Amino acid sequence: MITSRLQVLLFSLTLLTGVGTASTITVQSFDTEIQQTRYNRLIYDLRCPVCQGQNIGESNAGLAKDLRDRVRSMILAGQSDDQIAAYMVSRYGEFVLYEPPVRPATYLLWVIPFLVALIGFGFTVIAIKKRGRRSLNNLQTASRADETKRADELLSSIKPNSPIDERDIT
Amino acid sequence: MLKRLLPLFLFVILVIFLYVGLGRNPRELPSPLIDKPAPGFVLQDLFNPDLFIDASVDFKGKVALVNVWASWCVTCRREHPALMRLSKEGKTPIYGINYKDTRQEAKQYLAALGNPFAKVVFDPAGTAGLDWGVYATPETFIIDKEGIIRLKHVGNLTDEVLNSKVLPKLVELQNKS
Repeated sequence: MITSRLQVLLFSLTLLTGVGTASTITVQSFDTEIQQTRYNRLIYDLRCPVCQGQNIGESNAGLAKDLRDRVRSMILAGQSDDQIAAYMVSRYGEFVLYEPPVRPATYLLWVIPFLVALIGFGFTVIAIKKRGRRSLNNLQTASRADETKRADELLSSIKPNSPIDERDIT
Repeated sequence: MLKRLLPLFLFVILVIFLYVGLGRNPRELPSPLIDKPAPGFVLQDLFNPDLFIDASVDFKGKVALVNVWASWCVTCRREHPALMRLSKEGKTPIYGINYKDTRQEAKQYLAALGNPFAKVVFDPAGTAGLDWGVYATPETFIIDKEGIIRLKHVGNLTDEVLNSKVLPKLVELQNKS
């Protein structure tokens, strides 16, 4: 009885803490709906510099909150999305962008997936062609040279009064 | 023969990439501020609220270290002796940016551990920190005579970091011109 009550208590406490962390991300107020949607998109497109693999919208880190606040104030100040992204990049580097820009240093990054796909496609084509040729070759050599020879051998090995014949009859 | 060795060759390449990747610190971001002018700010002096420090004016003229620190930052405490040693040598002025701290706690910290800073800027909201791309205290910048950032180090100034990274850069910049 006591243990079950303890379990309920613990369970409700866990629920409480869950609510607590969820509410740390505060909802920001904006003048217009468009600003709000822009804000929502920007904070999900900007990567948090200190939290591995989170954007600044998801993170509870102090720095992420600072950056969210900065995004909000820049939106309210009438800055464009590009200006805000450029502001973040000039401070924290291109790390903050989930989509890296296309320029000479990142060519390799952009090209490699397509290159690998192309190489894979090439290998597949070669493999299919090879297999096709091999089976065709087998067919040809078998029907023409070897098999006719073997067939002749087999035919000549059958004698009119061979035991096989008798067995077949009985 | 070549065909048999190809998978092994590709595997070796993969291992090299993974090995290099393991050795890198994923928390360390390359700073876009290197070789750029130090972002300007005007903020209060830690000890004197009436005195304002302008980074674009007060940090110029000499090759200097700028250290971002806070009293709540454990690693700052650990690297403090290194800063004290550097300031005693007196070759390079060290400027402090007191990041997201309270005036009282910051002053207590310096009173207890010693003050290596020629000037300390009080940045309770972290605005200067944001402009300087600070993401983890302590951070140390080297700026040259023209006020251009030449090096950034995130984390403890260990002897190894000082000897291999910070001091050579300081000497190099001081010998220039």
